[in-house]
Amino acid sequence: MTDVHPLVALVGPPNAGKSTLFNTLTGLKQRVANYPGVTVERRSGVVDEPVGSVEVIDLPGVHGLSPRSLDQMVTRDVLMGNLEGGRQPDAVVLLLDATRLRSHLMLADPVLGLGIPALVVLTMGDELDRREGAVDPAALAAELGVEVTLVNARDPSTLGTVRRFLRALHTGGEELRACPAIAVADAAATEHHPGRPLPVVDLFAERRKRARALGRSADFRDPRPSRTTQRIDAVVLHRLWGPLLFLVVVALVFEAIFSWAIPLMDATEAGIGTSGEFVAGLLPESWFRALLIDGVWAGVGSVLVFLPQILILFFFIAILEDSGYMARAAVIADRVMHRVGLQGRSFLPLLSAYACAVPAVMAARTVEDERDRIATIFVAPFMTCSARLPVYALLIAAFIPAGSLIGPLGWRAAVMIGLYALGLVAALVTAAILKGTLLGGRSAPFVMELPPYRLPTLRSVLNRLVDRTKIFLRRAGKIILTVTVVLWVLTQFPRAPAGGAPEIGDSALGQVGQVIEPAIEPLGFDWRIGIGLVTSLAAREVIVGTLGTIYGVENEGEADFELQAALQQDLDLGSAVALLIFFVFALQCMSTVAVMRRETGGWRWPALQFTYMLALAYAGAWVANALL
Amino acid sequence: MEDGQRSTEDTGSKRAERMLADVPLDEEVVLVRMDVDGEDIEALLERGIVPGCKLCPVRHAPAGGATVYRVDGDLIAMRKDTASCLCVQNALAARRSASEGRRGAGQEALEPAGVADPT
Repeated sequence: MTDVHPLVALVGPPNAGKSTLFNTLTGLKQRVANYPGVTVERRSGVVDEPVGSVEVIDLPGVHGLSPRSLDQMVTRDVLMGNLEGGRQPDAVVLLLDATRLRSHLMLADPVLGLGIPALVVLTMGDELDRREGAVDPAALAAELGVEVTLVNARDPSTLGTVRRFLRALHTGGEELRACPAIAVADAAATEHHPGRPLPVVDLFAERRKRARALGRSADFRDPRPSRTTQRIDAVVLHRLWGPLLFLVVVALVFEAIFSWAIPLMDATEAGIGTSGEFVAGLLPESWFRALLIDGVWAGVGSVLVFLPQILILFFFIAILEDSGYMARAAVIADRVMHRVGLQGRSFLPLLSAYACAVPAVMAARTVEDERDRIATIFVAPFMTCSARLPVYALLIAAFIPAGSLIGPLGWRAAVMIGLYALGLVAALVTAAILKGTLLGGRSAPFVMELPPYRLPTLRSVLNRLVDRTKIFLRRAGKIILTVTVVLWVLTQFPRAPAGGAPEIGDSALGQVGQVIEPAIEPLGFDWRIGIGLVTSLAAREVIVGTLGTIYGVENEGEADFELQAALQQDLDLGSAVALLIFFVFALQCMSTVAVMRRETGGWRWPALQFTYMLALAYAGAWVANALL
Repeated sequence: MEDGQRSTEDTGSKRAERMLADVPLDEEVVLVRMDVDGEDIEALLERGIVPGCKLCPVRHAPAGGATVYRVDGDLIAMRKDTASCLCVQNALAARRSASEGRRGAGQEALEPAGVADPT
């Protein structure tokens, strides 16, 4: 049984330096999980002090505690003791950006008003100083009735008061004070309107009034606007340079995902193959060895191979977000996104989906409006993820001639670009249809804060990479492991008369292929392709391995060519293009379905999405087969 | 005579009110009223876009998209349709009408948040 440490919650608006303080305090002693039943991440860590340890939870960045978004709902529930097993935090650390104190102080009323012992940490102390702003923490502390400290969250030497506050949870020091004055501020405002709640505009006007009064008491002097931010914005949001830079950044991310990642992916694949052979060599020939190597090892390996791409993608996302550029990119993209019913914040998830739909669905959390978030999740799997590439590469090489179409642009490259474009168009059209029907209604306002530009820290970037990796492997790994084991079992039964695994056509999986053959015949597919379609439900690229097994491709060095030749015997141009189009549209990825179920809180949206994409894939493939 | 004076003042005050979307770059204005739906208004309020706050359009995003406003020191981007729901007054006019409001008997100050706050 683990020790129960005193619990401290870090609360603050987005970009207030909360995660930086969390990382500085906890180092590598962090855990990431989800709050039960909701998709909001729970980041916690342990801070060891000489007098005892303290558990710190890093809550999502919020502007208030109203249940307007998932993040705010969870923050409010944690602070009120409705999560964390019914346990209310023993103390709260409220982080406010000292350079933006006027707006950030508006969070003081709702948070400190809960009556939990609190410490107010004013971050970006160095920046406030550099930009000639000023604040008197002692005066603010006197006004609030709780301790206030001015820090630079990246510099541990400025965190003395924070550590003293954490130690007080064990020693019961006088630092542990709840805010007596503010505890009644919202209530007092409500009293102006006895018998009914204060209108929301008036409530916020009261909060703002009080925030300004607090600022005056603390001798707060606004820092001058950041010249660096002004200069960079003059380029980044320039009418001409802004969109150009945006395209360069997108192209750079693509180049990194699809070129730089390749050697790492090859190395990962080789490592998985070699380690599998090594483990296989240690075990006697048995069903267990076959299950472990052909099922588990191959299945988990098919997920691990994408890890370099995921890591590179998240490296870029971390840099772009922490630097402040991502918010500008969302503003630039908003114009186009808005036309199809989405919004600028949808840009990041859709970009991520070119690597893998799983992190893309998770990244959609940043979209505040629920209908826009669902629409973003719904269309993300249409973007051409990496798992489609091996399938595209195999079929294009087998059926599309290598000649030139226009100048240096060959037929094969043109088909590849066409497949990417088809996925993008399907995503945009689907979004427009959704926002005109199931997710219709008024358009939510797009209000985007543009934080000052800041240099990302290596520690923050690395921490995020570790977090993302854990989450990706945990979510994608579980489902793919299950599906690959089930598929493997289906290839093993009924056992052959002489014992051992049957021929694939006689196996349970082969019988499944033959059962579905009449349904896929109009697309030009036979039972072998049918099996490939079923196995690729685990992950799209699995079809390549499955077809290799079915066609009995054995010579490893020549595997690609042998498989291409075998497919040329069974498919004509029409059915090959039909198969390509099927893969553009179909949701052949159980990991994505599983993550979608989590993120949308049920089976309704994943079921609808799977059916819709399957119907589109079937219709598209039928048309292609009929026309060509 | 008194009625006539008030009528002129009212007309002048109304003339000074505009929608935020119509404010040119670098003109500082004060938010007077918000014609935004109940569900959506909190997204603005929580970010400090509250009657009485000062806003200044500082930059249009490329391709006629959102506009970036300085709001009490923060930079916040909004679409034109959202900015078209926010009724504003020139900062100087707002300060004048607030001080007149305080002087005039029976007249309320423009906003509870104190538009005349030094910032």
